[in-house]
Amino acid sequence: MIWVAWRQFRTQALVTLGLLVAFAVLVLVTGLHLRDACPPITDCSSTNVGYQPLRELLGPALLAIPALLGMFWGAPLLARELESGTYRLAWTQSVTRRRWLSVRVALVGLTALAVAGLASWLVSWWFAPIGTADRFASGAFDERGIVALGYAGFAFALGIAAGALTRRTLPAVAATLLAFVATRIAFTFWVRPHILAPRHALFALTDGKILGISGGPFGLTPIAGVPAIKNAGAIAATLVDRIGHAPGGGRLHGLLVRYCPTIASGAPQKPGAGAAKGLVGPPETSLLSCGRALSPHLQALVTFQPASHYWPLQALETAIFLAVALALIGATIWRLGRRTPRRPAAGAPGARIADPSVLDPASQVRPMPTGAPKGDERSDWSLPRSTERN
Amino acid sequence: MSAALATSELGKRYRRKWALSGCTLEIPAGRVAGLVGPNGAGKTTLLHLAVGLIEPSAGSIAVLGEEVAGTPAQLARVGFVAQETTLYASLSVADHLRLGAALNPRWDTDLANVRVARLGLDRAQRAGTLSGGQRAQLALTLAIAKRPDVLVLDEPVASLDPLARREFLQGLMEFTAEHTVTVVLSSHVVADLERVCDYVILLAQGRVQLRGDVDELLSTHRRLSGPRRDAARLPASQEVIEESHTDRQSTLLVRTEEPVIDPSWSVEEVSLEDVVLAYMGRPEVEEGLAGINR
Repeated sequence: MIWVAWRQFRTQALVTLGLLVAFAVLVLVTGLHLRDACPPITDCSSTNVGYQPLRELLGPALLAIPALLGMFWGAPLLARELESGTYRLAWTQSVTRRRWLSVRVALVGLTALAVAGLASWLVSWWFAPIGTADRFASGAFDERGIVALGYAGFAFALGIAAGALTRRTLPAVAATLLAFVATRIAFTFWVRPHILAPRHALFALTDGKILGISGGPFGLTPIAGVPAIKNAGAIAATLVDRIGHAPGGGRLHGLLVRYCPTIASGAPQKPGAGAAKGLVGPPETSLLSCGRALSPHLQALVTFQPASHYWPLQALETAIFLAVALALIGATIWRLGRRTPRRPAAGAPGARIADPSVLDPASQVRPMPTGAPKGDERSDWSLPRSTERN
Repeated sequence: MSAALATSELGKRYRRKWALSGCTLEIPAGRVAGLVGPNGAGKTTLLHLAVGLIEPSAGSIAVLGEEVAGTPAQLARVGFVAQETTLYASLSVADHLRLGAALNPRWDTDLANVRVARLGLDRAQRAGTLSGGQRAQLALTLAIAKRPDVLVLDEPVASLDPLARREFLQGLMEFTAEHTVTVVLSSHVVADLERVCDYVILLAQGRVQLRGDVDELLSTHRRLSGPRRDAARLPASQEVIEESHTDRQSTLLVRTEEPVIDPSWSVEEVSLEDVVLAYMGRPEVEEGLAGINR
């Protein structure tokens, strides 16, 4: 059975192997050059060491690989058999359908995981010297590490399930892509933030560029900007008073008028160094002194994922996707491989016939039931008078 | 000997429509049984049920006294050639043989090799580029090299030209002559079946209309022609299957166990095709068929 599974997978596997080798050569050559260009002391993330297009392509490539595996390995695996009718050959050999399905799905599925894992490792390695300042951001978190394994497994399983449901290759491919993209987006926005509870930390307003000024229904109010925390993923920041309550807009405006009168009379400011970017408003020094003046009364409560959450988050997201993948594959194999005869359905026509003559030996004509369905038969039958249909 | 195939009130429903219903039949082991009927009669459904590709919606089916396709051992005992003879278009002839050898514990390598050599198939050629006749022959090779106890063939010759059809049936008959095997063969070309089958089942509208030993059917059916008369006035031993009348003459196809002694009839023997067509044309068979002109 393994030989059969391999023989049917061989062409796809060899084509993919070729593409993967080309990808690996590209990544390794440029990655080594990148390492020469920026030794560990240099901050590669800020200096332009070239490969700008590659930087922007490698991440999306890694996002695309699982989808491609699902579309071109997963979806056709069953859909093509069902569409072309070859399942009638495969499932009437001396191998149970479940075993046939399991071996084929396992071989291709595990190879898909290996391909995704290797590609992900290459991309992560390539980006290593550039730094991980923003590695929780959705553009980076899902383009590095091990999550690609989960995505690949999930996309492949979607392909298998879609192929079994649609029984046709093209619709299965389209359904796989749509379902995969939709699930990934939904997961990133609605599930990932809740996998691991984020941490909270208080920052003094004197601390760097946290304080900003914003206009609102209460007039100008101070706001907290999201600070950059090394290796961590900051999610949100709010201003709280000394006992930890978030003050209302009116009170914030009052505090601003009282402690930073120069700013309160000026224009709205973006958080942080808005002035440095040429916006009209108070100079940075006045924001700093304002922060100093407000800090006895207000501080910034920052919500963030600490660096220590990175790998647990990666592992949990991978595990969730793989678990869903296994469930999908299991359900598909179970459904297709089910062999236990069902009980007669209620109202089956068998129930209303009780004519023993059919059990008699040869040449008995079965009387037709009076309730035989009319016009329910195909009307295209030709009389078989020794001419054939085709 | 027990039945190779036995069904009881077997039914299969696709969504709301019953493709097969209330089908009870038994095919004795060792026979070459022909399954005939119009398109849409449920032939393919019945055969797919027999090889376990689909499951019954009602009733039961047993092959060689066992549940269908339940175990590898049961699967090994049943060979199948599907309609359109489905093969992997991108795999070569040799690949198909290797596939058969890999998936079937009872695989007969010699039988497969001898057949492929005699058919003159190029082992390196892809199945997708074979002619229809060659594909059918390769599919038959795969099915019989599995050394099944029951061989199920679904319209294997429907798309073949007369020569390929003859060669295919020749190969099938050679196999049945050399090995103990039950064959269930569906076709809507009755003339083909008459050559190879010794048992026939007529399926129409998802039900069995006629079944029996071919010789017995032929010996108990006669065509009578003579001066016009009312069919109801025949002796009770003669059951009228088909009747046609002109102003002066009546032609009847009757089933009778006894010789026809009425001298006013001229009595003719009938072919299997005559019998099958007569039963297909019976009013109770026709009434459910829309838009048929006979």
